[in-house]
Amino acid sequence: MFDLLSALDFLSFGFYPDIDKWRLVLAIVIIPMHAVLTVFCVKNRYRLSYCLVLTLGLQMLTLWLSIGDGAILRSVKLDELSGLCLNLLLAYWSIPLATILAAGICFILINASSKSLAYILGLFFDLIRSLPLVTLLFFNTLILPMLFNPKLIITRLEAAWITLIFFLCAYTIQIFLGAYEAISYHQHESAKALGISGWKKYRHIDLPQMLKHSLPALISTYIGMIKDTTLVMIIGLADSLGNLQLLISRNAYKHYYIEFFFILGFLFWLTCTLCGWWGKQLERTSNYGKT
Amino acid sequence: MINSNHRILSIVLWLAIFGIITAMISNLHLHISRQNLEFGFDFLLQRSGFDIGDTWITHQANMPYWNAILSGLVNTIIVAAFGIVIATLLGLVLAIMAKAPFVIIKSVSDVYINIFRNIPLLVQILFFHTLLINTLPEVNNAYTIGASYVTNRGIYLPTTSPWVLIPIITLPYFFITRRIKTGVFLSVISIGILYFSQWEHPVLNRFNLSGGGSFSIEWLALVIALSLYTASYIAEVMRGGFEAISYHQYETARALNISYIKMMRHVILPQAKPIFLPALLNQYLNLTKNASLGIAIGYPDFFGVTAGTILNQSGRALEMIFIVMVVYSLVNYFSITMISKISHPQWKRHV
Amino acid sequence: MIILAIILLLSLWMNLYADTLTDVKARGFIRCGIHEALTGFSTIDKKGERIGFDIDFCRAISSAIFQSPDKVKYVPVNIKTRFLALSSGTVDVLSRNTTWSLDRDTGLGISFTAINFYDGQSFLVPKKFNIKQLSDLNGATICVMPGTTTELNLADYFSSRKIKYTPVVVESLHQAMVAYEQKRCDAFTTDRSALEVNIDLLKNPNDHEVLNEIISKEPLALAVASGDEKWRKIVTWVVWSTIQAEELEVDMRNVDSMKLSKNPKIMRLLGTTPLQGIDNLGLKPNFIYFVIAQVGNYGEIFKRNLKPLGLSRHLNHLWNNGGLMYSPPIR
Repeated sequence: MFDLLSALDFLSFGFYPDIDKWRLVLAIVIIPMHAVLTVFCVKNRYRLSYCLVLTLGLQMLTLWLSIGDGAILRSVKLDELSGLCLNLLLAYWSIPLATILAAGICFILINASSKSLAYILGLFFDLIRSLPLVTLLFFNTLILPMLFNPKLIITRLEAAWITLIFFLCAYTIQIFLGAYEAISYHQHESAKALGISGWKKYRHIDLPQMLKHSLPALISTYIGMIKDTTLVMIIGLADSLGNLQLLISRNAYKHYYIEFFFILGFLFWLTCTLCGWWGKQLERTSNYGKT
Repeated sequence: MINSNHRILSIVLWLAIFGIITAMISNLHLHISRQNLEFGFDFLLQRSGFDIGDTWITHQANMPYWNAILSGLVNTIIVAAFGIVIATLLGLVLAIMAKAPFVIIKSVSDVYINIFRNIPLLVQILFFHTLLINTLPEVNNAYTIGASYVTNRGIYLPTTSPWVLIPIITLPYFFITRRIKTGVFLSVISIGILYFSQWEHPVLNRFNLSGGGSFSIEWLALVIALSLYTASYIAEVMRGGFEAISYHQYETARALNISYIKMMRHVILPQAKPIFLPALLNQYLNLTKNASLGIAIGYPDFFGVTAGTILNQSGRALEMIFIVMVVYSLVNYFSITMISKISHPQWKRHV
Repeated sequence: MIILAIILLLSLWMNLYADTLTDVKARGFIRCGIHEALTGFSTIDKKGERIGFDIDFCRAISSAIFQSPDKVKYVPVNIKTRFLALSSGTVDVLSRNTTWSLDRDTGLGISFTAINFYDGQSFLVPKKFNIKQLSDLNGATICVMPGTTTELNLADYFSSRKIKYTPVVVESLHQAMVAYEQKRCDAFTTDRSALEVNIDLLKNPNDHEVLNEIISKEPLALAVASGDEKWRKIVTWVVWSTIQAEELEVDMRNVDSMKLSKNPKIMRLLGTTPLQGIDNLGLKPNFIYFVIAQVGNYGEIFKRNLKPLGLSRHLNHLWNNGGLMYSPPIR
């Protein structure tokens, strides 16, 4: 009989040291809390900037908890995160940042006076969209350290993280621009008549509507991102899938490969379903103007 | 005031983009020159030195690198072609089931879509690969179906001259376009040809089945996983198309006492097709891109051959990255153009 | 915003390469590219510490630079990313049983340093096939890892002898063992040492054998990125110093007493009589003392990691013992 608990432990935490596991657990627990807080913010119509500060703060907190080595926390020896926690945290670290970045870039695309600038940016993100994520991950881990100052050490985890952010950003921009098109032109004309333009118009008139219109599409892209974090296995990061493969190559676990795949599949299914459910809640609470 | 603000923004961004690009290029250049690397595509003509086992276009050690890339590309195209056909058929069935009047049939479709959409594709690919390798029999006690063998190395089929296949491939066309007589005539001819043509049967030798044609287990796992996964997306897309059809159409069909299948086939599908076609083509594009995940199970597709093997054997990283980017961009560009042509046809503009 | 852009630009522009040693010293640790999991060479023990033959050479380099063997950050790299991890600067040194060949030394932007293991390519086959020589494998399906020298050797050997085979590409060692065990392939080929230590992963190790026939030379060496002569020399001499120490019978236990030795060779080895050249390397004059005291000599490293797995030294004996391990003199 094999030790199911230790196998599950390996699937979710990998080689992360035992004494520090509470940090990862805490970081993972923050994710659903953040999701609930976001719904709360939307429900009470808090300002977008409060949500932004909250998001960035929680991101920093989870980063510090899981891989930080400050004065209070002892440094993690095997510096690379591993297991299901890596998947979840990578998804969590890329989704809000990519959305914020996409919102910023959409502002440029909509408002920039030079058409060529928008063209170049569009071309860049088109290129990202045209490549499969696995090629981007693979090449970025190899190329990014060459492109930047060698003093700036870019580890594989960081390269994968950057890639995921830009990949998600490319798709989010497309969704946002589609949502921008859906805003009726009366709104633009009213804004013009009131003398609101530029950042102010984008921030107070365009963005809230874009976010609301694009929610269903955004959520399905987020679910896609959660699933896509498994691809980091191919560049050699020990995520849950990589650990699973290592596990079922051992004699003790060889016969239970179906069970382990089912367990992992179920965990991903659960995460994605929860994310979809959260999206529905968010949609419902953000539906102001309608009863 | 407004304009000047925007101009500053543009100028700053231009500077930033220009600066980042030049800095990156200079870093890259420094890197390359420091390590004495060279850049150029003439190595593609050199002898590759490695064999690829599972290809439709043979690649052997004495053939040049470009042949390896080509056989990888053909592998990707064939995986995508099979995946697209299976995924579309399965997706169509699931979508029709989803609109069916029976709760059980409906929920089967719902459960399928829910499960396969929410599990990562890579998990599915690896699962099917492991499953097939573990459950199918070893090569020396293979399942035999006629002259074909099913083993955990793949499926071995008897083969014959590829020209024989032409009437068989064209058969469905005649039946779909209702030229039944021609179709029947053609099928009689093709059965005759099949019966009398020379067949090469796979034979079990000391280690392996040889002769005939084969689909490797990696190919099989990849096609199964890709089509099952994409089918769930295609089903959603098609269901969306069906839902866009006014419910009057359904009710009229029901009033006319047309059976469910017939209604779907003759009333709903023809109307829904132009609605879901762009999204459907987009799913095909996704499937083609996802075929690159074959690298995880060692299937020598385009990406696996270029990034997995050639990149390490020749050390030409930048060139390989360039080739991969160009090929995928071209595929993407042509499909996007096609999709936008279909979704905004010429005649629509004049209406 | 403009200021931000300028700062960003400057940070990108300032790309003057300092030498690796200065970078490493400023950083406080070396980044060592290692195998993900290869018993004996790079594994994780019960306490979560990385151990193994390749790991010990990373530790030796750390001892030489920092006088402490633990200033290493291990970066597991897989077969596809190992060379680019090195040439792009993600790791400082690659200690991942990598074969030294002319093509790799000149074409990949990397430089090999010193050989720490002489290996050869062999085949893992089931005993029931009763294979006497490699030509008996005619028609077999053979698992091989992509992008390796073994892949090229396999093609060379079989095509030059007109033996037919079907290659099956497997992405990693453990995938290969699973594929081999499930009879996806009839034989698995890679470096002999890796086969010998991995045979125990199979369910019935006694039903399988590693063929005695060796089809290639696989000198496994540590590698660094090209373009930094000094760093290459440091890594080279750290490896050689462990070999030299074994030759002079200086080991972990007696290194402190050996410091008092009057043998001029040992005095030079342990830095009692300082050498001019070591200063030029940028290391402490007694760096070898720390390497031996903290990690051990070549024989000890081999004995600690590979002997328990049943690997014998064969070619890896010292030159005066019938092997190939030979260090240029330290003087």
